[in-house]
Amino acid sequence: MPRVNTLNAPYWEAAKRHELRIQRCTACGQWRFPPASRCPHCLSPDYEWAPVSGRGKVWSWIVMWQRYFPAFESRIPYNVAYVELDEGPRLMSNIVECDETELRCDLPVEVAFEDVSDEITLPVFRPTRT
Amino acid sequence: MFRRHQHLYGTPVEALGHLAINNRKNAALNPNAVMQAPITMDDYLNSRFIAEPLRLLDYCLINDGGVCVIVTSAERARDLKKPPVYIHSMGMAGDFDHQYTVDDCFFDCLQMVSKDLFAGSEIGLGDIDVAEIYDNFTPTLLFTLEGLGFVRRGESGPWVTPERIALGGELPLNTSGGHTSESYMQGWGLIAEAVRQVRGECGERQVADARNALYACAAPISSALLLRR
Repeated sequence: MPRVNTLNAPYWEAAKRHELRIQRCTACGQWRFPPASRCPHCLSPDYEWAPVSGRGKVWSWIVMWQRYFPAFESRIPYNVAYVELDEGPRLMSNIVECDETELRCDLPVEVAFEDVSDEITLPVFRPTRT
Repeated sequence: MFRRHQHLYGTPVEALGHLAINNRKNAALNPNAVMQAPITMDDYLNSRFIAEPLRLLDYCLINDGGVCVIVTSAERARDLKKPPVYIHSMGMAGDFDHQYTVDDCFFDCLQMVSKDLFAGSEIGLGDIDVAEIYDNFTPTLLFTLEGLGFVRRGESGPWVTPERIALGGELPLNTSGGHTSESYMQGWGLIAEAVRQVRGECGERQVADARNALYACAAPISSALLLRR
């Protein structure tokens, strides 16, 4: 399970409400992910947790065959993808509702939410249906 | 990143196979190598996926070990027991924007490293007799060969033919067996091999008259060393 801390809590709280929010620097306007206390572009400590479109594309992905994490054993083989949001930052996630043979780089995807416990909801992505 | 490289350039997985097989072939001539049993392309393609598209034989080993490199002034080295190997040049450049998901497979970083290595030097890429390149996973070899300029960007896949990278080839690569077959010493084993090649201590895997040896590593901190007699 993800470890929730002071810095990343707003991300997980939003996910629980089935919203995708990431940090945006209020000084220079740059989006960023993963969570950081300062803007990697202008070093400002000021930021907001702003909602994003939830749309993006698959930058790349792997299919995991090795049992690294016992908790995921029943899912082997499962994909782990880097999704590049339309806003720019990349998130590591899973592509769902998609046959492995249909996965490709630059595949358009949109966010979906997987409630895995009472506390944690994981943002995952599925092929965009429009 | 390899998947992305495949997507952009159509890099064949067999290129990785050639690299893994070359490493193993060299390791068979290295008494210090952990993995010495020869492998074929069939063995490579049939080895199990770990994080697909990478297979077991693309991965560095996990092992214990030790390497010692003594660095001193040329003056002090002169009367030591072994012939000195000189650090001709070194380069280093960092790119932390995307860590291991960098779009350009560390190309820009390695271009800077290459400039550091060869700027104002009478030695050029074509003068390198043997290359020992960091291979945490086999694709890293492709990225390094492109970034340093041995081959044009995107064209490393077809370039790494068995003949070209073998002992006696145009660019003998990872003569010790590298991280996938000799041992994983986080690059230090490769540096030791570069030193030994220049000293002519490598026995059956010795590159004839090796004068200039390259060590290089593509990573969020990319670096390289050019060693010479």
